[in-house]
Amino acid sequence: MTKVAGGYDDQNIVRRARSHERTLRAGIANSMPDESLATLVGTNSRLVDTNSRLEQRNAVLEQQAHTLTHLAERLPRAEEEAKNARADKASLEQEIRLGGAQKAAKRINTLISVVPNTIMVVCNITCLSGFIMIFTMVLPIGIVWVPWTFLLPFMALFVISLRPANTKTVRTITLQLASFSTAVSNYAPLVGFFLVYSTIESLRPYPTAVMATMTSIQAAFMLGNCVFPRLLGFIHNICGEAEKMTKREKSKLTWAFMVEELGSERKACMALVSSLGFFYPLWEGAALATKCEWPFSSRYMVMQVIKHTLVACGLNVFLMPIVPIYFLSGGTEADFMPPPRMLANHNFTSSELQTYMDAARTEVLVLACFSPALFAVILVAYLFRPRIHAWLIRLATAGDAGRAAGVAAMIGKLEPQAVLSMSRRTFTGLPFDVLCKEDFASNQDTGLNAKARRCRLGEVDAFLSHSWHDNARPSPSGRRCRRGRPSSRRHRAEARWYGWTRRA
Amino acid sequence: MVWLDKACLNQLDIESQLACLPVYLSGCQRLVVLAGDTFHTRIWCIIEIFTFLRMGGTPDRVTLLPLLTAAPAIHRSPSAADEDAENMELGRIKTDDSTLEAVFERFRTFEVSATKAFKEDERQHLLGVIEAGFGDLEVFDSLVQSLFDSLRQEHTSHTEQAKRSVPSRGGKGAVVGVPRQPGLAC
Repeated sequence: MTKVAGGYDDQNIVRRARSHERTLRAGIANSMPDESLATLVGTNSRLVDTNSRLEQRNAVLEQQAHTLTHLAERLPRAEEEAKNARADKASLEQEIRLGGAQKAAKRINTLISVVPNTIMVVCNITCLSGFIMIFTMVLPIGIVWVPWTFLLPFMALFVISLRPANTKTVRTITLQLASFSTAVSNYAPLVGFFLVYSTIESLRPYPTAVMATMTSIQAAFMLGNCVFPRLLGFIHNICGEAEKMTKREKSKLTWAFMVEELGSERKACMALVSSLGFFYPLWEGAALATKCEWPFSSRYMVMQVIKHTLVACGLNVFLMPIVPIYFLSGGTEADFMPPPRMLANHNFTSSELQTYMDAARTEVLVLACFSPALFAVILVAYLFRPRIHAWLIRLATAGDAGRAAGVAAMIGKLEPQAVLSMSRRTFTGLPFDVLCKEDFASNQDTGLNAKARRCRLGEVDAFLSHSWHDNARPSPSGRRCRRGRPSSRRHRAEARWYGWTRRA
Repeated sequence: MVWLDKACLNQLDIESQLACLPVYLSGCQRLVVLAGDTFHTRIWCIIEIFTFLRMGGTPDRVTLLPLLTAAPAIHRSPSAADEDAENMELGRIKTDDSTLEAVFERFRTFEVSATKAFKEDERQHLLGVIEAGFGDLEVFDSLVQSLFDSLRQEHTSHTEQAKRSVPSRGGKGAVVGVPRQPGLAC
């Protein structure tokens, strides 16, 4: 029976029609045909209206039923679309984040270049100034600065190593300066030796200053035998990655670096030939410092600095006290033999010798202070290195967007851009259902690699972090868990989680 | 879907793919820590936590699953181990909470400088990364400690709520930070 709004239904209409028919018949019988006829017509028209309304309502109802059926059919598809839309949204957010990360990575590169490169240029200028001082100083005592000037280019290289790669211009300037200073460092002891020797000869009897000079020259030459390999080892330790390389690999890297810097193989070849090989250690150091990774912990760096500084410079440091000890133990001009030439031509007065000794006192004091001061500077630089890093990175990676790039730049040896594209290309996920406890028993492949599926960033639910050194062994319940057929995926998955928790 | 190094890293190109680790981690919704006896001593595990923290990760995105201590095989017969597993499954040994407490205790005194790696220079490199990331190793130590302290507090409050509302059945309280949305579990 069809129910409609307003209380009409088929039986009611029929009942009314019959009632009107009876009324009509009664009207005819009572000789009131006009009134009955009018009533009948009115009733009939109402019935027609009611019927048409019913038909309309039926049509609406049918349409609604059709719509509902259609919607019910589309519901699973809509759910699927909603899920895809959520995944797209997550992926989009990820893309936005990574886009920000790329910008941040560029910012980091720019920022980290500025401070270290400035320090590096200052170091090199100081180094050159030191050499100028050496050659303009009349007193031969200046030669003792030579071993220390070795350190400055290497300090510069250390600063370069604060970041993975420098700009071409900065590298070129650095290398020119460093190469020049190294060349001077190599030739300076020889030149200085002859200068000093002739001066010493002219200054007999030897005052304390000359004693200091001689001692220092001796130290310089002794150090010359060990400074280069030690400092090269120092750079290698800074560069870390270099330690893993063979000699051949290092040579290849250095050669490629030289060709890149100088522009052609011919020029690189000429550079090597013209420098008689003296440039080579620094070229290698520069190549390693600019191409290799930088992060090492401060403790490690300090340990290396102490080790190499002590080994390379310790000899000189130990020789230094000879002069003050001699001087303070009451040595006088009478202890020195007069030079034969001067003995014949000139007699030194006491005041002249006193002048020499006063000058020597000052210089010895400077030398005595210089070693620990330089050592302290290096140590402080190394101790503050991580803080400088952290400050630079914090400055460059303000906001969430930059953090991924910051971390990637620190851990990886690739450019952030390459890391991002590689990550997108290689990001995979593993359906949870295929995992079982046996997979955690060892890090050997149990066929999981083939089951991993390509995913978009943001699509994977969980990152499993664990140690392969943990003793996780399969258990009987784990096997049952895999064989059994739990009522739902959710239930099964939870069972697995709890299974790990309780027995792994 | 889950990300597991063994399955999701190309075994032939691990070196270069490790550089992508931060991005892989950022591509996942949650960090699930399967903390066993050695988790806090392995620097590569800690690097994952470092990456998570550096990228602004919060405790509500971490799921901690403590792994039950299993004695070395040399000290236990296979049958004894299986028997233990059966007992645990049947709830006769309730060790979950104590295991979890042990994990929390390890991280309460966590020091990244005490972590180990297969190669010393690799360890130094990663320590340098952490140091550069946070300015000081101690800062990172305290961040990790506070992360696990938050998880401990969350676990404690959940346990108390469960005790108040439902009689304890034992053995189910060991998962901290399990996501409430159904999406993660499968």
